[in-house]
Amino acid sequence: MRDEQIIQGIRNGEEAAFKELVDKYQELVINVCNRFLHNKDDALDVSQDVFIKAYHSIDRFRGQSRISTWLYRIAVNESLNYLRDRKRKNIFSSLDVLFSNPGSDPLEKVEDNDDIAPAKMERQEQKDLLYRAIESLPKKQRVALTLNKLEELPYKEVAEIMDITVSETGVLINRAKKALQKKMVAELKKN
Amino acid sequence: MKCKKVHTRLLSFYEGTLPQGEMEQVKRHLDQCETCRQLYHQILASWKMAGEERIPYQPFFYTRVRQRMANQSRPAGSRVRHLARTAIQPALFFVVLGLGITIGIQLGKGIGSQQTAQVENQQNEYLEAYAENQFWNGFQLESLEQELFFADTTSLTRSLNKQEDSHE
Repeated sequence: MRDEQIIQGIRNGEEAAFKELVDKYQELVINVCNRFLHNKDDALDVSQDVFIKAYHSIDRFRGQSRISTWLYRIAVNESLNYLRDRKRKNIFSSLDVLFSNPGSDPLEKVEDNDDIAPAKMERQEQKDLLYRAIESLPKKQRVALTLNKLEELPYKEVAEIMDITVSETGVLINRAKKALQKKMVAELKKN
Repeated sequence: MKCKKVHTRLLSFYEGTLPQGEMEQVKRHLDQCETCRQLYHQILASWKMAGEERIPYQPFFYTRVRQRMANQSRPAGSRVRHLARTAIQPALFFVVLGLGITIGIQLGKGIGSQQTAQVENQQNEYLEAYAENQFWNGFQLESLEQELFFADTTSLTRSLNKQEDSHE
């Protein structure tokens, strides 16, 4: 089924068309969410919301851009919203930890990490280093860098997703790259 | 090229997007500087690993999406619970916190003023007692004054007695 047929089918309320959309683009959406959330379960969770949002706002899709660009845009927004909400929730959960009984101390679970192989832990640390550096970047730089460098999208598509010009995208990515390297070098020197 | 300058060009060097001259300068520096070479390899390892990470096709994903859609369209009860969790709970938390602080301040004020009043009363009693005895006690302590006083009075009585005797 072609993209236009999928869109028309969803507008007509055809279940098969929506299933086609989800099956065709689920990998794209799940992976872009994972690029921002760095957690598979969260990425799957948010991806479901992305498709639900796409389903409900299908009438607002004017067909000026590709479906993938439109889905990317929803996925980026949903992921950033999820991160913002999680930050807010963390404030309350930290209060919960303060008032909870000592047996439920989450730090006690750290001992379980002994079972993880050192090589796997080292790989995870290397990844965490990059993720921390990316998360510390300003929002626009983070989005541009993630889409271009990790999702390997061309500047033109990143510009479309972010609703900015191609030259602005280039500036954002260059700034992000420089800042990212500085942060990673500083972090590595500390270790 | 100095280390600091090289550090901001590592990713571009890896991608080969630097101008020819800078590519050669960074390469020469990395050949000579062990610290920068190690940093370059570590950054590159993290970069490649993050890029390679991909979640494969999920077979039951569509079923899960439909299930969530069905759950979301369930009215009233769940929405009220969601609202209670997201809005009312935090609001209640802050109301209780504010009440606690206000009550604490009021109680603190009460206890504080009672204690101050007690201390003030005790101090006043002490000061009054001190004031009552201050003159005599002070007088006793000032031995020189005491002697002079008594010396004066005795000499005075003596001279008075003499005058009386002479009259007689």
